Amino acid sequence: MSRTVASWEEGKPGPVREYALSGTPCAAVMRHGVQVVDCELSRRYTLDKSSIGYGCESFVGSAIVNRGGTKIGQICVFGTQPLQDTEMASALVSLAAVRVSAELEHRQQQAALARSEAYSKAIVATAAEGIVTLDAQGRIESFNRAAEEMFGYAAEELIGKDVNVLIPEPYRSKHTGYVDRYVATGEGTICGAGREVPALRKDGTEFPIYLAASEVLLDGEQCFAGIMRDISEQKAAEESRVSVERRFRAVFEQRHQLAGILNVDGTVLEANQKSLEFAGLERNAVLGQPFWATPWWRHSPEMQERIHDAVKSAAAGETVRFEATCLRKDGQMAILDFSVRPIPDAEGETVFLITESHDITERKLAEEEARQHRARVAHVARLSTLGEMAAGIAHEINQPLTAISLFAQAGRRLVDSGDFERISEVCEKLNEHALRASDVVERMQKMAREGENVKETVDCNDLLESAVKLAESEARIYDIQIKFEKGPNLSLVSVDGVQIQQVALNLLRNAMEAMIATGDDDERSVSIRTRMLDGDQIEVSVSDRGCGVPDDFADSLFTPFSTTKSSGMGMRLSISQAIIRAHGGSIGFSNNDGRGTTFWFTLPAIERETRHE
Amino acid sequence: MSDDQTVFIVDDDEGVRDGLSLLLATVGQPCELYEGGQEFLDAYDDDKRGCLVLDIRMPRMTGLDLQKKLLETGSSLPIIFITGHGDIPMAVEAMRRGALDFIRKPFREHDLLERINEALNLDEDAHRKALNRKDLANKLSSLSEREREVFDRVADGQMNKVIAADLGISERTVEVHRGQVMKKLDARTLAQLVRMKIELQLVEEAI
Repeated sequence: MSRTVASWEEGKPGPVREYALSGTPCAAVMRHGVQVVDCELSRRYTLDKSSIGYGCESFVGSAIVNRGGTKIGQICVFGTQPLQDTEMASALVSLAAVRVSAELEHRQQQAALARSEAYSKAIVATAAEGIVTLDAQGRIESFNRAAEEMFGYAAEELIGKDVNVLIPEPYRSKHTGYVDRYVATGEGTICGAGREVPALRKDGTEFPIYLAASEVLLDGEQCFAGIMRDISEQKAAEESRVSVERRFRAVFEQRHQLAGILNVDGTVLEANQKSLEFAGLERNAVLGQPFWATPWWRHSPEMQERIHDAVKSAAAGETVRFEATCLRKDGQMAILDFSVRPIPDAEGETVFLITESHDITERKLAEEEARQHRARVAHVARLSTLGEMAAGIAHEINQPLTAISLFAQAGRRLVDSGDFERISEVCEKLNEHALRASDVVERMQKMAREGENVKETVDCNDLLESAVKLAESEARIYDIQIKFEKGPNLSLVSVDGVQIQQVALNLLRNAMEAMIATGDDDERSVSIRTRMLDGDQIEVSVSDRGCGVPDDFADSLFTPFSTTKSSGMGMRLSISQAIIRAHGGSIGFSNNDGRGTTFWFTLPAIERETRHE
Repeated sequence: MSDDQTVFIVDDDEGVRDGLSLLLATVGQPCELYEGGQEFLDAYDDDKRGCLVLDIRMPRMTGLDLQKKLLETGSSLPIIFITGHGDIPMAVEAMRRGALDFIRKPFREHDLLERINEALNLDEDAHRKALNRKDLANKLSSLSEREREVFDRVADGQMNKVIAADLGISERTVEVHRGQVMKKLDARTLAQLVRMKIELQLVEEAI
């Protein structure tokens, strides 16, 4: 069915008609473009009463063709008289059809333009990017809302103003030059690829934008459109990332620490320069390798195994630290304070591992040297103690020797006289006193032996027994009694027995000398006591009833070469202190309430559970 | 050596005491053992005879202390000190105070037994002298006062004539007293009288 858009009948606009095209001359128009019937229309097209043009004599129609060549309609005239001049009629109708077509085209274009403009406006208005358009002179023509927000201006404030207000110095001056040059010569880089430029807010603050400028030719005039994005946050984030990275690098690459980053499976992701230089390695010799298989640990399968275990533990969330060895570039063995720790993400899942190592070789060597030095000093001190005690010890040995000599001579006489009855008893005595002498010698030898720093797990009471016996050899000479009060249920201690005996002996001898200095005859006794303190410390205390420590001497008591005695080096207490500290204990003294002084030292106890009984 | 003499051993070391006692037993010498000076003093009395084998270095009372105490009581018990290494200054002091000798530990039995023997002889000697003095003292005590006055002067070598003038008696009376003195004191010569007088003076000085 076709429908009329407009019609003119009998001198006035006709009604809208709908009719079937087929069988009408209009169908021919749609087929051929133009149809002219000069007469007898009804006969030629057998039109009935309902047909359009029924009773008409002539017809001229021309198709309306759009720009694409499609027939979109037609204009036709039905006449009641035969046509005299068909050509003229056909030309007039065709001309009208062309005009209609042009008019329709124009209207459609207008509509499309209006729609496009509406879209553009909507887009420009709601765009997240700031959009500005300029005329050829660089004056602002439009300024969208995003741009208003970005720059802090209302569009009305800017329209007609030079775009330079949005550009900070020193770029502003240059900008004018660029635009002029571009307009004049078409040269320059204003348009085209977007780039980062500085911008100026109304409040005077500068901020970075990403600007994409384009050139528009409008009615032969050059105009410019700019799309801008505020990238200050992006820049800040970027800068912060760079700075974080730089800071990380600074930490990671610092000169005193060997550092690495491992995957959770132990693969080396990163190793700092120091760690590579340390062992004289190339980066690619370690990257991507399992950490334990890297050349750092290749000198020792045992070390590789420890490292492997440590990595596994770290991957399971545990920080592992121990002293490792590593071959340095120069082939020397270095001692490292090595640690590997897990780095968790926000969920607590280990995402990678950090390894750190400090070269503590020198410190260890110094410690070892200090330890050896301490051992030497302690040894010298022991020897000097023994020297000071020589008279007592000689006496102690001479006694059994005298007894042996007497028994041997008596034994010979018994044999000579044929009296064998008591020989067995004599031999028994000989043996007894020989052993007695050898006990003294053994105690002395132990005390004189070079410090080997062998730690043994011992009962403190057993340990002190020997020191007390040595001290007794001297005590007897001065008629001083040593009372040993052994504390019950003592935990064991892990100590260098000889050194601890030395300390006990030092304190006992000091105590005895204090007693001798006093010269008082009653209560010539020195007490040595052991007891548990709070379950994890053992205290050994030595009390005398001597003259006490003078107040003005108390501070320097443990200082080497300080002494109140007329003889001696004043080394005893300072050496004792060094020994006790090296054992993780403490040493001190207090003047007794009544008379004399109590010196004490403590040693860390070992758990009683581990005690072998 | 005599059976009623005892060797007193004072030493704090049991082994040394036992060894000494066994050695002395093999030579048939009775001995008594003490572990300290006080123990010895508690058991000792002046009648006991023999000698002291004394350890110089002992707790509580040293050998020197004991020696001093014995000297104070007038004991003439000979003392042999036993000393160890380094006791020389003490030994010198002991000798100065009249110790018989000192022997260093350990001892040769020959030295030891010889010293003990010597000591016991000394003791024997002293004992005999003591008996003599006691006898003399008894005899002196039987003299009358006048006879004692005459004895003192005769023993000093004074002439009868001088003595008579001194005492205001006749020369003849002096001669009678002098005869009584010789008789009572069992002396046959003037020289014997003089020796008795000297011995008497020694005893008095000692007291």
